Amino acid sequence: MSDYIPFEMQIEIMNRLPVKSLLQFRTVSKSWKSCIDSSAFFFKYGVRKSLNDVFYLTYNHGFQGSMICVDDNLIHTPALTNLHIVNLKPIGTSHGVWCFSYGNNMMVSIANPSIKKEVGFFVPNRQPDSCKMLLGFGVHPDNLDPTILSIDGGSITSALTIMTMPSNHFLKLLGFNNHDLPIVEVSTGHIMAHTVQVYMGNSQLFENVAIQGNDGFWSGGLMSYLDLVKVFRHGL
Amino acid sequence: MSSSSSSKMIELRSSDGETFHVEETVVLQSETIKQMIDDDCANAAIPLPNVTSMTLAKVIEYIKKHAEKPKDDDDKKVAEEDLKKFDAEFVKVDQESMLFDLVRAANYLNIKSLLDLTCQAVADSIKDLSVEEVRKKFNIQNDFTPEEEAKVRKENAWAFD
Repeated sequence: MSDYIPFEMQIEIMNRLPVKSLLQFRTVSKSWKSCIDSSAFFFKYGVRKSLNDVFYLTYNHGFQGSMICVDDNLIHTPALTNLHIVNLKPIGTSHGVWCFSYGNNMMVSIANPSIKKEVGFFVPNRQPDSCKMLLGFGVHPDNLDPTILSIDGGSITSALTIMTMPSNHFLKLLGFNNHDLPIVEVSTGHIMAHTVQVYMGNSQLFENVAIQGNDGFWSGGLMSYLDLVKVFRHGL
Repeated sequence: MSSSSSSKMIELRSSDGETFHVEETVVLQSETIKQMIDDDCANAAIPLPNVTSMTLAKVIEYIKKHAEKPKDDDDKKVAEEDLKKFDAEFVKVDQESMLFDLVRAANYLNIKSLLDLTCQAVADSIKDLSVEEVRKKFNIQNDFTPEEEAKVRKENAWAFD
C-alpha cells in the first residue's frame, strides 16, 4: 500500500513534535537521530511557534545563573537549559533562539531552549581588543539563518558577510528587508536617539530608515522598510 | 455557491483518470499548479499522476473552503472560527492512510497551509507512541545495534526529569 511517507516529509512531521517525543524518537533510526541532532533542525525547531512570544533573558551574579522566558501575556517561565549562564553575556534573542557571547567576545554560543541544545563557534575576524566589540543577533525570518553582526573597529562582521559602518554605536539586529539586507537599530553615544538603519549593498553604507520619537517611529525616506521593522521587532 | 462567477475553470486529472473542474482562483493555492498555469501548460487537463481521485476530491474540498472570502469584518471573525472548525474536522479521517495521502498530495501540489495542517495532525497522532510503533507507522528499519540504541537512549535520560 502507499503508506510510505518520504523522509523529507517525515522531517516536516518531526518539526511539529513536542520536545519529549522528539528526544525519545532519536532512537527510531540513524537517519532520524542525525536529523534531530543536525544544526539545521536545531535552528528550525521551535522557531515557528515562538514567533508570537517575547523572550527575555536574565542572569544572576554569583554562582548560579538563570534564564527566564516571558510570553505575550507577561507570564514568566524559567527556561530549561544546560548552559552555565553565569559565564555568558546575553546578546539577544530572536524567534526563540538565543545568543550569548563568551570570553570577551571570543566565542558566541547560540542556544535553542525549546530543544535544550546549543552550538558555539568562534567569532570570525576577531581583533585583539575585541572585548570592546559590539554584537547583534537575529534569525532571518524566511530562511531561518541565524546571523550575528559584530562591530569591531568600524567594520561589521556577520556570520554571512562582512560590512562596514561607523563604530561607537550600540547595535541590535532587528531583521532583514526583502533583499536580505540586515536592518539594525543603532544608537550613538552623543545623540540621545535610536535610529533604525538598513545596510545598502550597493553603496556599502547604512542608511537611516527611521528615528525613534515619543510615539513610536518617525520614518525617513525609506518608508517601505518600516513595516518590516515593526514585524521583526516583535520577534526579538 | 462558486459557480456564478466568470472565473476560468481548470481541469485536473487524478492518477486513476477522473477529471475535476475547479475555478482557477481556487486552484492557485497550489504553487505547483500555479507554476503550470504561469508556464502556460494548463490549456488541457492537468495530469496529477501522484494523486488519486479520492485524495484529490479531499484536497479540492479543502482549497475551496479556504478560498471563500468573507464580505465584511463581522463576517471575517465568524469565517475564521468556521475555518478553524473545518480544519479540525478535515483531518479527522477514518483511515490513517488517507492522512498520509493528504500529506503527500499537499507536498506534491505545494499547498503550504494544507501541509502544515496535515503534518501537525500526523505529529499529534504519533507524539505519544513508542519508538517501535513509530517505526512501524513509517515503515522505518531500525538500523541501530542494540548497544548503539541503548547508548542513544542513555543520552536522552537527562531530558526526562
